[in-house]
Amino acid sequence: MKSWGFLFFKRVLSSLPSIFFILFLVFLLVRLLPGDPILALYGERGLSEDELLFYRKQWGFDKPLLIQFVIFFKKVILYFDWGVSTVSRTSVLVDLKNYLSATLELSLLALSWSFPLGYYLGKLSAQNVGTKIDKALSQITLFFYSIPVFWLGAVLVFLFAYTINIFPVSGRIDPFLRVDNITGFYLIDAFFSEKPFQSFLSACHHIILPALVLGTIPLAIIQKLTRVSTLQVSKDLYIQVARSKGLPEKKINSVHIAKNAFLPIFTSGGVVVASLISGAVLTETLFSWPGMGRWLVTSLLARDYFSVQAAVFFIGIIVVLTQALVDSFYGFIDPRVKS
Amino acid sequence: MKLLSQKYPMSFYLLFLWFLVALLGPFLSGNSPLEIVGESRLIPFKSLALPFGTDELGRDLWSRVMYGARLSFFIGFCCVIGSAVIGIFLGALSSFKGGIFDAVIQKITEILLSLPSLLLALVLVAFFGSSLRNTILAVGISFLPSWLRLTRALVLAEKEKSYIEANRSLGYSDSKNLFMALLPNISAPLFCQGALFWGESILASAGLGFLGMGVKPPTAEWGAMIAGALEELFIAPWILVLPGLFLSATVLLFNALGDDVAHFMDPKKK
Repeated sequence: MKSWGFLFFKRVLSSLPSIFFILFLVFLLVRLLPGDPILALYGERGLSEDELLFYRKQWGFDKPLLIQFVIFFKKVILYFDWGVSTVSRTSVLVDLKNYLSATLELSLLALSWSFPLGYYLGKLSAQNVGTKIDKALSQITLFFYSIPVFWLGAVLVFLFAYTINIFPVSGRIDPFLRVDNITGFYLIDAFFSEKPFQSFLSACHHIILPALVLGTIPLAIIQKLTRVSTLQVSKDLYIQVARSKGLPEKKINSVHIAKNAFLPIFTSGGVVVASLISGAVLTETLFSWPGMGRWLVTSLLARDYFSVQAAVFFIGIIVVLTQALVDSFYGFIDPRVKS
Repeated sequence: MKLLSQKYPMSFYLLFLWFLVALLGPFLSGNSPLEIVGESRLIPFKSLALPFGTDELGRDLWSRVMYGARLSFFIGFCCVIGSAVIGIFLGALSSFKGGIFDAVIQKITEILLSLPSLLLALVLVAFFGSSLRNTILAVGISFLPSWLRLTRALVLAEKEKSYIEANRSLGYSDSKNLFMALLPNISAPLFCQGALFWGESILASAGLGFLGMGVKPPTAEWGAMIAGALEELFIAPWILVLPGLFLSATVLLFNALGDDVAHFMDPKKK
């Protein structure tokens, strides 16, 4: 059996071409958008013709598209230089680090409650298949799967941030508390700030509502998956054998079924991550959470070429890497699979 | 009369009822969804003339919600039909025939699938420019890879079965074998997917509208209405709650229909 690292590497390598194709596609699409970053920054009447040409030359937007792509690609490959944002005027990589960590923090927290709960509820409805509990749970998850996150978020804001004022409306932390960006996770960085306890509480306070909203999508997906795969596995003959041996039901459920039922949930890691990112775009916009999704939307609107490229590329990378990780790990959690 | 005597799932009837409401709803108040009516903005329910009151600009909220429903049904319909026809056709043909064509289609699917569908739609709609037609195009294209993948998986599993081989030995042409014999046998999961995507494309187009990149503003569209209502959330929450409720209910019904279709069309489960 080959090492896990090798498998992972091979899997990533095989998806590299498609990732670079995405990069090329995004490069083209974003440049073919009507308008350009200079116009978006200064407005159509803000600059004279000469100034416009000057700025375009300065940023290199006057060259033919293919040349632009070669220059961009060379910089990325050689120096990992993703360019400078036309809006914030900082290196795109620096922006990326901040936004990515904000999205990661939010997504991980959203998963941390929705995954266990979804798994538990899925098992619960599979063990009570056909009963009222199963039907009720299926309805509830169907409901969570159907309601738009941005609307659910807004309703929760109205309830918890306005009617009973216990959560803030938006943002990551109280603006009066300064937190240095070390890991990018405010929940961790808070401990290195001047008022660690207060900052941590404030960061918690701000993240609860968005994490709650964002978690509803994976919750529904995971519940459904767990239910279906648990039902599938419990029909297997070896479960009957285990039962006829007289093993306690509890043990059959928690060991025999759970082990095999977990596999399809594990392999759908890529789907869950993709759904989280889609949800993050909307959740972050609603809560003014400075993450990847909101970054992409604002950069698209500002025609900030370099930021859009980086945002789309790294989101693609995250999805592809997750899937590669899952696929390469599969052989280890399921010993029946070889290669 | 077979169609009438069959017992359809509950969600089917509910959806039909819902569709009628969207169709006839605007006649209840009779106001245009774009014109400012009533004496002021943000008035709550008063009479049947303004069942939902007025929105943040003083327009009739009821007729906006109803026209939003019509628009959503329409967007969903176009997205599903468009992407399904192209996706099923290409997916079925390529995986049935195999070869280079199949490899190319598969590669494209793989590339498109590495972006979450909402992001794909977002980039596409920014590229096309925001309008009704472009929202449909963008959302439709973003569902294409899922259709391709699903059809491919189904056809690959089905084409090894012996009836396909038997048809071939009977002298069926490939296209007849594929479209007349194979496709009807995998139609249940495809219809199920269609119902789910109908709901999902309504959700996606509302998401684009919410981000300000969907259907252009004065048009009554649920996502944009929710975004507009955010500014008055603490004064008039109902102008946010009502369109969202209708949106959720519509998507919920389509998702329920998707679940039911799978049971309904599967002859083994009857």
